[in-house]
Amino acid sequence: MSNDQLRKIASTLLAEGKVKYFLGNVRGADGFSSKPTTARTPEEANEFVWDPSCVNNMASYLHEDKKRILKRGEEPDTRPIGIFVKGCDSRSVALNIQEHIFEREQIYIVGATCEGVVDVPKLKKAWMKRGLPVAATNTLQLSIVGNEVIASFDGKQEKFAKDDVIMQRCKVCRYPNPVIHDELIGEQVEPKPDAYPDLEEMEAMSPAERWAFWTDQFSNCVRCLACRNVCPACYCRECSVQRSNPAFGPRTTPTEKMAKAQFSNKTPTKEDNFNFHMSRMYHMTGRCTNCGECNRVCPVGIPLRLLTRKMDKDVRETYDHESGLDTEPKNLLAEYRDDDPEGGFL
Amino acid sequence: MTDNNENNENFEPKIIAFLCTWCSYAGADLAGSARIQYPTNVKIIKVMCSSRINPLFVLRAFRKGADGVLVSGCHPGDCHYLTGNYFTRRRLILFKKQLEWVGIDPRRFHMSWVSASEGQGWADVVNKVIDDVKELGPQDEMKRKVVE
Repeated sequence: MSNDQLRKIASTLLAEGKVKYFLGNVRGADGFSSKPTTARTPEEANEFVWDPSCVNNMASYLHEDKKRILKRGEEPDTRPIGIFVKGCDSRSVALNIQEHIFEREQIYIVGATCEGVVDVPKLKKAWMKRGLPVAATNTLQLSIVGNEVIASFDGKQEKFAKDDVIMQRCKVCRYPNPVIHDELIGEQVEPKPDAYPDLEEMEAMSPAERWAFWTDQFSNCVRCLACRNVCPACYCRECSVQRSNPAFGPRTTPTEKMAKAQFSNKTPTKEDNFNFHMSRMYHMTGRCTNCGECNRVCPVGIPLRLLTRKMDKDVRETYDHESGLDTEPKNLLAEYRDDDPEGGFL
Repeated sequence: MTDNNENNENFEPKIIAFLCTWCSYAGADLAGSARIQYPTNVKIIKVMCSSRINPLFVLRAFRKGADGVLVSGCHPGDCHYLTGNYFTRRRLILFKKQLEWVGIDPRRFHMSWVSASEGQGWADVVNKVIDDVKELGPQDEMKRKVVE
């Protein structure tokens, strides 16, 4: 975890003009968190931080580049985009390259090995519980050493148990080291064992109990679409669950109706929320890289990671497929094998 | 889970079947022309290929009040478009697991391969699906409810 190394790499790249801009994190306003930023000058790059508060998946911000419309007479900038990634983010970037949203040369990846990132609300809660000064967060520096998260401020040190303040997703992380990178920061980290301890509780339930659980959860959903917007694998211009204006008239052809079919209404009723989350889950099948961002951003705390983790498990068990591990084009639902399993067909 | 379980005796399920036009639909047609008896609860929607079926159609059917959904296509290797049903197979197997994970009983959603010559096979599949759904009773979970 070294700010200096990242700052040095990013500012050199920007000064030499090797990248058009660099995506990284800077310290957020509240002192605990970090916020994603685009640096266009070496000075801006010198503000970058790399510490356990960098929870954001920077791969989501790559899509902004595609949305930008050139001014009249403006030449497109063909230089690559610089991006700072952790292990989990690197898989999202690799997925975007696999799906030809970007080519490998279009992205300059600065990877960092990661021991885990903190769950900022949890850390804040622990901070307040101990009665520590809020003002001290101006000079806060976080680091992970062994099983402890060390927060140093004003020359003092405060230690938190790693399991208490770390993100749930980091406890089962199998890819702490970036899978693709142009430059690497840090020592290789030991990955966590390949297991799904977080699913055991749900797996033991009967369908009726699961239905009750998910109805309860989905009835909270306000359909803010934060889970969709933050997802590095969701890049459609028009989302299938958010049609702009499906106007049907007597002259609407079946083809038009087909293209505009609305699978869930905009009103966040319980049943529609169910359809929305099922659609999202299905669209992510074989593509989700399990970065866990949807779970983090949900304002009402729906455990969306239970859906994506289960999907990941099914896909790996049935088809031995995992997305975003390299840059070779690969897509689970656009390929087949003659000897695929036949389970469940009458 | 369901309110009208006591009416199970007289319960006539509504099954939506998505059939591919080249094999399964022809199979259902054969069942008709061969006068094979099978229940009338199944409402058939013809699509050009089983790979046309977006799993969201299934959700949509449940949402519109279907008690069960059946998707049927050509046997693997027999697809009119050569490879369509291989994609269907991957898609639907995973989709069924996802339905199960959120708590829809897997017996409400069936997949089958029925070829154009299997009139009796089609009748058997329909009977099996209807038996399963009758056992479960009306589907009330995903059905859209109008709030007064």
